[in-house]
Amino acid sequence: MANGFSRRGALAASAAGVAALSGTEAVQASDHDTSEFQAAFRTFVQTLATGDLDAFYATIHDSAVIFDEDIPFRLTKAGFKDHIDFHIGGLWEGFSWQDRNPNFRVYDNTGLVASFATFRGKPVDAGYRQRHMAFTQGWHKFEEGWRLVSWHQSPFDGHILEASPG
Amino acid sequence: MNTQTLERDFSSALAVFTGEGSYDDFFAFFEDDALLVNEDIPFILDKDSYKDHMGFLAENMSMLEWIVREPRFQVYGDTGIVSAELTVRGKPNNAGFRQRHSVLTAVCHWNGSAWRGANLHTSTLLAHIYHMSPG
Repeated sequence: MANGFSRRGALAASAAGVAALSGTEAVQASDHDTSEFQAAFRTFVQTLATGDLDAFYATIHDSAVIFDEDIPFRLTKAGFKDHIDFHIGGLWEGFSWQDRNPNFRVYDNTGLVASFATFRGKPVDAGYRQRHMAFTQGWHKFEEGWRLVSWHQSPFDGHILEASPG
Repeated sequence: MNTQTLERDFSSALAVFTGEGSYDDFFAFFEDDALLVNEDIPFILDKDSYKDHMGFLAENMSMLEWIVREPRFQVYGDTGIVSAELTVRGKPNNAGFRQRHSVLTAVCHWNGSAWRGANLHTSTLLAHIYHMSPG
């Protein structure tokens, strides 16, 4: 019991320390109204979740720039679609992309999402896969509404491995 | 507001990493409520935390440089997007040297007279390669 108590205390202290170091407690909400922008983001996420790729791609501007978590090169929208086609061409029995703890900013017609995400699913003939990452998206509000103009996803291992030289 | 002014303001902000600017100018480029993702940290940072991290690096490294390669500047109305390849390099104190090959994106907006950064996201190429192919 005493050990459990002390472990809980150590975990609480550790969590508080991590929060303080990472600044997660200090990330404040924007002063601007982000409700309309958040709704656009939620609709976009839902198109991917339901497999409505026509609507998903329609939200991405034709000249959007994308850094995908699985590719170390800058992608155009066409390159991104090709990569997604590779994934949905029979490699998976199922996958989902889940945003976690998104933060939103709006500056006039510019929108920003900064968030964590998990890509997970089961590759055919393999166990399962999880890719935990950070992502940021840039959006612009056009006459027809909000559209995505940049998307950068980066798995956490790259932010941890070799972060500290010997 | 166009790609030329976006390139001018972004490059001016990053000039500190080529020995031609200042950290004050670099941090002034970002909105106070900017959200930042650094290649060395697996959390989303606010501006104060990002400044703290950059201060840590400056204190523990010499010859710290950012080499921006193949930058691309895109403008949609008052929204600016910067994307590029990036090498962060320098010499940790009392150690050999360090190179972190990365990519970056910045989401910017035009405030009426200048471009300001809402975000800067840097991530190592390692993140985009390691574990990308299961099984």
